[in-house]
Amino acid sequence: MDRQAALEEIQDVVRDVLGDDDIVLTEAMAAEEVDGWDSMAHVNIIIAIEKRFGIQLKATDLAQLRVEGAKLSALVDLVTTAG
Amino acid sequence: MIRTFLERQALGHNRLVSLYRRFGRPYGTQWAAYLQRHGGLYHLGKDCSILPSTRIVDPPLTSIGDRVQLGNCTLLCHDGAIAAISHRHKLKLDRVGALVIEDDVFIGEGAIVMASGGKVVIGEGSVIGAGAVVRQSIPAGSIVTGNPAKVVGKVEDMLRFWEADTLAWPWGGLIASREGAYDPAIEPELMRLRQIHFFGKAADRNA
Repeated sequence: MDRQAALEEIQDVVRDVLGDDDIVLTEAMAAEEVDGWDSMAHVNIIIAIEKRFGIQLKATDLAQLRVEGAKLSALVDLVTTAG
Repeated sequence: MIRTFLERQALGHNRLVSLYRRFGRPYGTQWAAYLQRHGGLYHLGKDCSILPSTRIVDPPLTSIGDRVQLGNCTLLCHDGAIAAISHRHKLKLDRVGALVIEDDVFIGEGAIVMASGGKVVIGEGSVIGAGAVVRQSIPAGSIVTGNPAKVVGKVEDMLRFWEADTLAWPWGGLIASREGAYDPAIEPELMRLRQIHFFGKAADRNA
């Protein structure tokens, strides 16, 4: 899967979990820039993404997403290389 | 010295207990040790931590397992309204229950666990969040929040997320190398790093 397709899949999941169809994601955004993407939502979003992509991320992978200022490109990296 | 005296009186003889709570300022583990001897609980296991401010309203109907940690919470095993209701309606009613808190449970600040309508079991390894109001049994390994309390997740599912958060902190390496859950030797450095992370700089102790 190419990066743009992966980002669109992630965007679809985030819209579904956060209940907001107007959310538009780019790889340059950080999760904290997305309204409603707090620490609890983060868990639900990641679990939903794992189900969508049929993968399970390790703690060391997840840590890359929790570093302050981490961009969504890191999440795209993970889902396009995992599995 | 006064603390040691008060602790000895309280633990050894169940005397000067209110002074021990007020001036001895016992840690959770010390208060659990007192309750184990004199608390009158149905059962209280080993290696627990119970804050002195925890309210265990019906000790004989409360059973607590091993390694349980109780914050400033309230544990109830009766319905306090029933006496007034019985009197007003000229009935002879009884509404009580029993509370079983299994091993390795954590109950947070301000939580209320009520077993006033039967037996309530908090399954082993569960986490009851601050302020939760629990009135029914909770399956083992659950994370529970809110009023009325709801299971919002499983501890097992959260472990890798908490591990990831820990790794991502600037002080994650210190935590990884720490022996046990607390090491006074690294606490000052831990706090300095946390202050820099959250406030932008460490506290100025000379201010």
